[in-house]
Amino acid sequence: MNLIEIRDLKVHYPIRSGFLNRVTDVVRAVDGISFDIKAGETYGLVGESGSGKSTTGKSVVGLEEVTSGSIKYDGVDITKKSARKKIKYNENVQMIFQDSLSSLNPRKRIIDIIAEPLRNFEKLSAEDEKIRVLQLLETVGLNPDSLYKYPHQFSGGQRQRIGIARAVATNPQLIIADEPVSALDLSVQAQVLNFMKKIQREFGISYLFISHDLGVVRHMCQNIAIMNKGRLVEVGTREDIYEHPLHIYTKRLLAAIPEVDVAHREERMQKRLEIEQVYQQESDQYYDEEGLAYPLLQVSPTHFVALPEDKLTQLTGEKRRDA
Amino acid sequence: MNEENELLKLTDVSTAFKIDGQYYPAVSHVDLEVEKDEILAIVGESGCGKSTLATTIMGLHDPQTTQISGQAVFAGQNLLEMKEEDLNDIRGAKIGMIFQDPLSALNPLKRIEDQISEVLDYHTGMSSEEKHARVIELLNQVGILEPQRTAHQFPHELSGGMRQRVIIAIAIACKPDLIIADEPTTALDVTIQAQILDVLRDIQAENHAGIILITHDLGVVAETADEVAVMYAGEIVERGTTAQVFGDPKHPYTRSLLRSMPQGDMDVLHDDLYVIAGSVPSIEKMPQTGDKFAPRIPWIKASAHEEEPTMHEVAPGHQVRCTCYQDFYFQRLEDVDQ
Repeated sequence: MNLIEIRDLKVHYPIRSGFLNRVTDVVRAVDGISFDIKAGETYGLVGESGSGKSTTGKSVVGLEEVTSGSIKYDGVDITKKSARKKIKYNENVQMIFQDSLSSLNPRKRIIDIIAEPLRNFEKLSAEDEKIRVLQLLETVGLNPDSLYKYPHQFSGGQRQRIGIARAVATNPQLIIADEPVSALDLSVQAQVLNFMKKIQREFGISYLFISHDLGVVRHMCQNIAIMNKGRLVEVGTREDIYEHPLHIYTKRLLAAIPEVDVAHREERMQKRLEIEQVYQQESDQYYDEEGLAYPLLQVSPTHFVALPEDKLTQLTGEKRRDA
Repeated sequence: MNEENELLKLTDVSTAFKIDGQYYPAVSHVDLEVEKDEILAIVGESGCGKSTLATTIMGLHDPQTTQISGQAVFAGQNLLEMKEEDLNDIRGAKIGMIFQDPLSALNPLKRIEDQISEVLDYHTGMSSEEKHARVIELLNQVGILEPQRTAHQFPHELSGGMRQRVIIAIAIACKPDLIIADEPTTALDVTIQAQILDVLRDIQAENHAGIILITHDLGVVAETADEVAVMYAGEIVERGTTAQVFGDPKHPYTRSLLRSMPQGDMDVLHDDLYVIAGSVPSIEKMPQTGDKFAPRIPWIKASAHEEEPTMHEVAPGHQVRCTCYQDFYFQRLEDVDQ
């Protein structure tokens, strides 16, 4: 069942200039994207900086004015504030941010930070509230004596876990996680990702996992969308994207991931340079006249790629001959 | 080890910071060599002392609040005992430095050409025409497509990848023998990161420079470096060629780090990542004796550790700190207390 259905979502920012400050142009941050998030799954939204992935996340959580298109949550379009209020959307959808230091108020104690969403949506007595916060701290593996400490007294990984505790406080259905581990060390990243999975198993939460890190996305997400200049270039399951990528942009991203397999590093570098060459020389075959991605075409029940008809036939035909 | 190719030799380098009137070590007893045509990676997590080591070599610490000992011999001179004026002749000319954040390392009010010329002004007596020609040559070398145009731009007009290329151009302006690159690609997208690493490799091949690459990213190390030193809590715990350290890691910390990386073949819903028990103690609380990694692997018996861990050679050029690597095994994931 789909928890979220996004259809033809557009977020455009006007550029004003000149004497009368008139709108002279628009930035198409998100330019007509569609995808679904199933209940209980982690959906990966991958892209480089400036691709529009964070803007997409913000519009799903309601922090960004949508220009056109729809975001349906349990069948209800939530792009209008009044609709979000009616179905308690803000209680059911929470967010985890990249920078745990700037997303936690430095002058508040942990108990007040984690209890804030509870105070907004539930009327609990001080005692019940404390019990809930203690439970939440336990869920993310923090000591009860953290209650009366301040954010600066914690390490980066601990702060990110406080952010997770705050996000799950209202028992949400969906959490938007925007680069939740990219500021963390490897060993701490492992901890935080494990907690995110643990909470998902316990509460059946769905995640929209926004990241540029294809290694982490492969570990977390069953379904993935690759975003480039405001549009989706490829959508599919983990296997579709990592084993059978079709768009040159996806191939190029995958080839650029540094791997720890030292023995094959020369081969990988050769392959990366070959793909880079195709990307430079044939980019007009993969993008339209404006340099933007084509509409998505279906390749298999789960796999979609943004290519013109003939290019897709050429690519899949070649592949069949290889096989 | 070929003496002729040796660029920099660190012997017993330690750096301690003064906190509340007491000195605490951030870098302890580091021995390292860098040769010509070699990329040495120093890898470790935040707070392990890898950046402090770089700033120690460059002499960027305030002597009022830092205690530095040991030797860093570069071209026959100990950098750690040099006067500020003499260091200024070496920094930027013989040793170039590349920092992580390209925006804060560039002056926002100066055009790119002027920022690169500044180094040439300080270290060379070039005429304006020579300088301009050199700036364009450098921008070409770091892969900037329209060097004439970029030379006249300001930092805010450039993308992150372009800015980092400019930083590299400044660092190599005087053809340094040694380049110290501190997290040069951390703020960049993976595709840009790959390009910047290519540029670093090309420059090294052209100039026969040695590069010290400081990073937390094991993938970047495995793709780029010739030699690796793994740091934990201010000490080097393992070193060797990239093939040795990644192909046959010995130290429990190196093995744990590699194991905590996401693997592609895991189940999305059920498989957890390996987590290293505990956390790195703060600099004030760091134990001063014994194996500093021992508290993170409590299931290994105390007798496996040395009292004063030293480096042991496990293969030619491959060294590991402490004897505990011989008895180390991974605890089952379910038993690990998160």
